[in-house]
Amino acid sequence: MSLRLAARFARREMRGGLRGFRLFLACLALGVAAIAAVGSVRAAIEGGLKREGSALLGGAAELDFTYRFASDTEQAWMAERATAVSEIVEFRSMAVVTQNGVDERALTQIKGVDAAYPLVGTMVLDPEMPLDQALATTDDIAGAVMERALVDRLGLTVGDIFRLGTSTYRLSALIVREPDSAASGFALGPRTLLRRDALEGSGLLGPGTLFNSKYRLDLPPDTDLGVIKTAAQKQFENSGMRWTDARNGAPGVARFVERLSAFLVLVGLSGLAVGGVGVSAAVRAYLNGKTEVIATLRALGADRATIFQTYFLQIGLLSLLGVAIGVTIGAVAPLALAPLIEARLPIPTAFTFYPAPLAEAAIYGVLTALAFTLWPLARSEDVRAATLFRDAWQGARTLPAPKYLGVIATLVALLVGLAGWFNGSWWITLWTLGGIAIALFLLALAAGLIRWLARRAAVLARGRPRLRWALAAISGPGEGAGAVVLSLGLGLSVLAAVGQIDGNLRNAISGNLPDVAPSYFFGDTPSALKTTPPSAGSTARQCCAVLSPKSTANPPAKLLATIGWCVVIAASPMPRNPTPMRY
Amino acid sequence: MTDPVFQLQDVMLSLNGNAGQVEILRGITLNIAPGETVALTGPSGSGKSSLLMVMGGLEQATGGSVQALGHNLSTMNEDALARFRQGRMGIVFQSFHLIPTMTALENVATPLELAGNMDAFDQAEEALKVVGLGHRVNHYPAQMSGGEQQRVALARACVPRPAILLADEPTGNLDTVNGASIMDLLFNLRDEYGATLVLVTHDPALAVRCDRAVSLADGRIA
Repeated sequence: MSLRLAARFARREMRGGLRGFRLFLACLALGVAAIAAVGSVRAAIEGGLKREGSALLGGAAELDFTYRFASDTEQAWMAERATAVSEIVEFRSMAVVTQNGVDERALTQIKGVDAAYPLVGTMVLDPEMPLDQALATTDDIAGAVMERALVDRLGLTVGDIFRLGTSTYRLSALIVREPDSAASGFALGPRTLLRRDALEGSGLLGPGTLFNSKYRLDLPPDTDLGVIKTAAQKQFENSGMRWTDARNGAPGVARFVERLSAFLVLVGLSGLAVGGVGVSAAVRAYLNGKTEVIATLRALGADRATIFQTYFLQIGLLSLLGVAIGVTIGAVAPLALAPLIEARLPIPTAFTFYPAPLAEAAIYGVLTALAFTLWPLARSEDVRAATLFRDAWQGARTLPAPKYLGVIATLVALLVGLAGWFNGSWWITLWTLGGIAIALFLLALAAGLIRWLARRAAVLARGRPRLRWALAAISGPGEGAGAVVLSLGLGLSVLAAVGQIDGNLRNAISGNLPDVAPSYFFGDTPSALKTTPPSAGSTARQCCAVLSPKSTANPPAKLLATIGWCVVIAASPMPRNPTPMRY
Repeated sequence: MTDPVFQLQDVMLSLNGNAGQVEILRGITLNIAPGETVALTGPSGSGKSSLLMVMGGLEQATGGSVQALGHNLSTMNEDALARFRQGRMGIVFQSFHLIPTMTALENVATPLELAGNMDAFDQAEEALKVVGLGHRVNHYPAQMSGGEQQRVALARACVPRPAILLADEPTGNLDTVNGASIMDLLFNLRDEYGATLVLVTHDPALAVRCDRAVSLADGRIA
C-alpha cells in the first residue's frame, strides 16, 4: 500500500477535528513551551552578556594583578596595544563615620579609579551627575560615591563626611548603576568608589596591603581577542596576571546562568516525560475508539502497514501541531515578559527570537512524542477484522512488535544523548533521565499492584454496587488505572524532586555549614591605625585557622578589632570555601 | 464440472475466553458452487456468523481447511487474507460499519482505493446511483438513515464486482420495509454481478429466496 493512500485516509480521519486530542496537544505543547521558554531566556541572558561584554568588563580586555600594580614593562605592553587604558585598584576597608562622638564602622569594597574610568558604559548616580563631578575634590575633600546599602548602614546623607583610613571624603552621590559591577565577582562589602589619587595619604595602600589592580584596555576594533590573550599570557607567563576579555565579560554570571538553565531544561524535560505519559494515554484512548474503523478497513482489504501509516501520519501531524504550539508559546512568552524579566535581573539581556533553543525544544518534543506514541500506535496493527464480530483485540499481545520496541529504544537513546549534548552535563542528564526511567518502572509496578488489589477486593464489595463498580473500573482491561498512576505519580515525583533539591540546597546553606564554618571571619582591612600588618601572603583562611572554628567568645574579635583588623561576625553562614573572594 | 467457490473440510473453530476454551465450529464440511446463493440459518450461538467469518478470512479456523476461489485461507496470515479479499469478496454487516469520518462516496470508494483502482471515485459514484443514493454522495453516515447506510454498505460491498458476497444478517438492524428493500437490492445486485452469495439470516422467508439453506446447530451442520 502506498503512503499516499495512508495520507488520504489520515486526512479523512482528521475530519473528526481535535476532539479527544486536546489533552494530547496540551501535554506536548506545555512541555515544549517550558523548555523553549527556559532556553530563550537563557539565550537572551547570554546574548545580553555577549552584547554588553565590554560594558560588563569595563573594557575590551582586563589584566588583573594581585597585591601589586603593573610594572613599567607591563604598562608599556598595554599602552602599545590599547587605544586607552584605565587603572583600577580594589580592596576592602572600613568606612567610618563619627556621630555624636561615636564611631560607626562598616566594611566596604573600595574601588579607586582613574580619570579614564569607565572606558565602556556609564555610571548612573543619584542625584544625577557626571562621575567626574561626583569624585572631584572640593575644599580639599575628595568626593566619593557609595552603594545605598552602605549609606543606609552608616546613616549618611549626600554631602556628609566619612573616613577611609586617615583621610576624609565627602559622599557626593549614591551609586544607582555601576556598569562593570557584574564582572567584579564576590565582594564582602558594598561599594565605595573614589579617585585612585584620592587614596594617597589615606594610609590604605601601603606595603603588605591586600589589593587587586586591574587594567581595562580599550582595543582597536579589529583586534583579535584570542590572539592578544595568547600574546599576553606568553608575555606575562609567571607574573600572576589574569586575563579576561569581552567575549566572556562576566564569567561567573555566565556560568551560573548556564548551570541554572541546564537544571531548568532537565526539569522541563521531566515535565515533558510526564506529558509523554499523558500523550501515550490520549493516543491509546483515541485508538481504542477507532477499533471498529480499523477493523472495518482490515475487512475491506487494508494491511497492517496501511493501518499503521494512516494513524502514524495523523498522530504525527498532531504531534507537530503540539510542538509548534509549544515552540510558539516558548518563543513569544519570554518576549512578552521581557520588560518584567529585564526589570528583575541585575544583568543585561537581549530578548529577541532565538532559533537554537526553539529548535532544541522542538527536537525534544518530537522525540518524546514519537517515543510515547509509537507504543500505542504499534498496537493498532493488532486490530483484526474479526473485532467487528467479537472482542478479538483483548487477546492481542500487550507489547508491540520487536521492531517497534527497537525503534522506541533508539528514540529514547537519542533523547538521552541529545539532552546530554545540549546540556553539556552528562552526569546530571543521566541521573535525571535514569531517575525518570526508574520512577516510571516503579509506578508501572504500583499500577499493576493497584489493579491486582482491586480485582481481589471485588469479592469484598459484593452487595455494595458503587464500590464494586469503582473497583471494576480500576481493575478492568481499559488500563485507565495505569495511565492515571503513571501520569499523576511521575508529575508528583518531579514536583517532589524539585522541592527536595530546593530543600536540600536550603538545608546545606542554613543547616549544615554553620557546624563546620568558623564562628568569626577575618579579612585583612588595611588601616592606618594598624600596628602589625599581616604578611602579604596571609589569607582569611589562615587567619581563621588561628582561632578555633567553635570559638564563640568575643575577646578574640575585640582584640583584633583594636589592632585595626576587621572583624566580621558570621551572622549568616559563610561559604565553606572562600577562594572566590580573592584575597 | 466447475470448481466450487468454497470448499470447507472439517472446519473447527475454538476460541479462548475468560471462561476458558469455547468450541464454536465443530467440523463443518461444506462446498458452495459459483453463483450459488446459500443461506446460513440456525439459532443464536449456533455458529452462523463465525462460519461466515471463517469463510471470509476474517477469522482463522483452528482446524480443518478452508478453500476460497482455489486459495487455502488456512495458511494465510492476516495481511495475505486482507489482500486476498481485495476485489474478491464483498462483506455486508448487520451494523453497517461505515467509516463515520468518510462521506458515502468515500466509504464506497475505499475498497477500490485499497485495491489500487485508479477510477475508484467514478465507480463508487456509479454504485451509489445503482442503490438509489446518487444524491447523497457527499453525506456522512451520521446524516443518513439506517436504511440509507445499509444501501451505502451494499454499494461498498458490490462496487469491486466481487466473486463472493458475504452478508451477516443485513436486515437485522432495519425495520420490515427497509429490510425488504435492502434484500431486494442485494439479490438484484447479486443477479447483476453473478456473485456467489452467502447470507446469514434468522428469517425463513429470506432463506427460501436462496438456492440452498444450511442450518447450523451447536457448531455443526444440522
